[in-house]
Amino acid sequence: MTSIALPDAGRRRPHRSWRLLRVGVLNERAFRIRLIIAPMMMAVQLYLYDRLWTAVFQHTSKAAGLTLKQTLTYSLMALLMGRIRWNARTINVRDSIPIAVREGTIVYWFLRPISPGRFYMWRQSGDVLYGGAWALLGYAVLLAGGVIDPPHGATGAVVFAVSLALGQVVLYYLGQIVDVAMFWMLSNNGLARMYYFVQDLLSGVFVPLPFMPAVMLAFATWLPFSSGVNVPLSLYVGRIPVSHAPAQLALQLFWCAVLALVTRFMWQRASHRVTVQGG
Amino acid sequence: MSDADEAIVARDLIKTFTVARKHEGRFAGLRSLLDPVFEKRTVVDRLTMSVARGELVALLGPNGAGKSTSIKMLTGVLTPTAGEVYVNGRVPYRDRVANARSIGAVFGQKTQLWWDLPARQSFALLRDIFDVSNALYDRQLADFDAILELSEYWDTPVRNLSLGQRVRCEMAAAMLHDPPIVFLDEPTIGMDVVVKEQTREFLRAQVQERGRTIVLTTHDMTEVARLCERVLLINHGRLMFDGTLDELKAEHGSRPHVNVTFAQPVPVVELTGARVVSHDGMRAVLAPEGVTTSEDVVRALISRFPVVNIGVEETNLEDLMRDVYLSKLAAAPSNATRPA
Repeated sequence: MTSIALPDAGRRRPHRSWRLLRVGVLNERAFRIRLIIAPMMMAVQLYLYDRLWTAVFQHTSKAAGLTLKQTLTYSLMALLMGRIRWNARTINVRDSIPIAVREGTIVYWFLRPISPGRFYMWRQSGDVLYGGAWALLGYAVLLAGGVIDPPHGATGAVVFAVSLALGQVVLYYLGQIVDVAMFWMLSNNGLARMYYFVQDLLSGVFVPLPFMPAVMLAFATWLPFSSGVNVPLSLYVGRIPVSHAPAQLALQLFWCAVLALVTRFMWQRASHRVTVQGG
Repeated sequence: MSDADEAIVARDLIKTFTVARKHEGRFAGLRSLLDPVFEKRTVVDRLTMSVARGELVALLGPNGAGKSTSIKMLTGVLTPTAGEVYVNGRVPYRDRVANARSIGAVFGQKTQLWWDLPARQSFALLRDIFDVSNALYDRQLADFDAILELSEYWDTPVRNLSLGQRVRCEMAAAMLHDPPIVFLDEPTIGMDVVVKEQTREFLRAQVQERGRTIVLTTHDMTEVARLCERVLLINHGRLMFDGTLDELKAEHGSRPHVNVTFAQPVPVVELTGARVVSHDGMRAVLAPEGVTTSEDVVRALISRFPVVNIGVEETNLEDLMRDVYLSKLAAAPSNATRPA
């Protein structure tokens, strides 16, 4: 086969991961209305939660061991943290596993020189970075407006950042388990809806975990969900002292390791039982 | 021919799926949910076949014959229940990442393009995923564009493309990384005749000029007649025939018909070695039989009757395949062997 020399000298290309990271943003840009809806939705959620907690604390200065400002900081930041994985967990995206399995386009995930698990990781990471950018914007606005507290010093900020990153890894793996379960279930809408409700409830997105009944709080603490949102936010608002951070970070690392093994095993099994629906 | 010379080799390939069998009678839905009964269903049954490098082969068969499942095993997407398969000398399902570099695939009803992005962005994504050099990428796109006219619509989001435009983009996407072997599962389904012809020209060029091996499944017999040197016929997951289309016609006893129009009504048309298929006085259709050829029939008609128009009509391939499928449905022979 002859090769024709074309002028590609000087044209440098970023690594493929960069392009896969960008897919989520490009998808969003294809529907510009989403760029308007996203901040509007975030603003409405934050405003309503602010009003709700302010009303709850009208006749008390402390509840569940938290002040109003701590509660607002926890709760509003929990909403922002939920925004980080918003696109990554949207089950109707066409190149998500649920849709790809249902429509049979999953076939192409196995016809590329990149493993499906790695492809999934890059796509999810792109979505998380995109959602993270919105969350960071919201955080900056809330912080500038004095609605939430800043972190407790530089150490507190670093500990929170590390805990936040580990928490996102835990949530990534948990979401992946639900997605990869699609290879067995072929329709996981019900499972996904139930899972995301439980995750938001037991991680502290809906309501700060300290407000939960003792039994439920203990239950949530023993599950990985708490590592996703409650641990980083408890460190941020000072409910968990920084001196206790190593133990909490170790627990988060433990969940990361366990869930990584589980998802690795699931991908291995899934690759042997690919079913391509629709002929 | 040794395995090394073959692009694709499959030996006694079996694929069995476990499917849930529905209960019947009262509360069937509830009983199926609480007490599911599973059964094994063999979709591909001891399939043995091979495809040489640079061949364009049609994989034919009625709906549900096992064509698509066979293709998915050959591409490495599905793991066979039993048997051996080698594609470009590699077991495709064991080393999917390496295998992906040497094959391309289009599954006609499924897109590998990113739905909301312009097709060209999908090409660029695939270029990066397959680590295609800029030089090869530019050359491939230029070559594909010359036949498929992709540049007219490649900046349109895939969701806004017509079916024909989308499938042409799918073809380009499948071959961007210059794979030596390409699998096309009903790629021209739903296309108009102009686009179909454009696609055929593209496939011909890929085989003749680029030396690719192509395995094509289709129900379009014109496509088969115009493109494929060899036909593999599958039914019930088993290979029923392996040979050229002419051999299939010969094996199935398919013969051309002679259509004749007379200058004046002819009450009786009788010729030795020809069967009268139809006759209405002014017109008749005759089928040669035995050793008699269509040329013999033409000569006899012209010498004996007042003929004003005469022509030989080749076998209608659609009818031929219908007859073949029906006859093969009735019989269930063992795997065919490839003619020498």
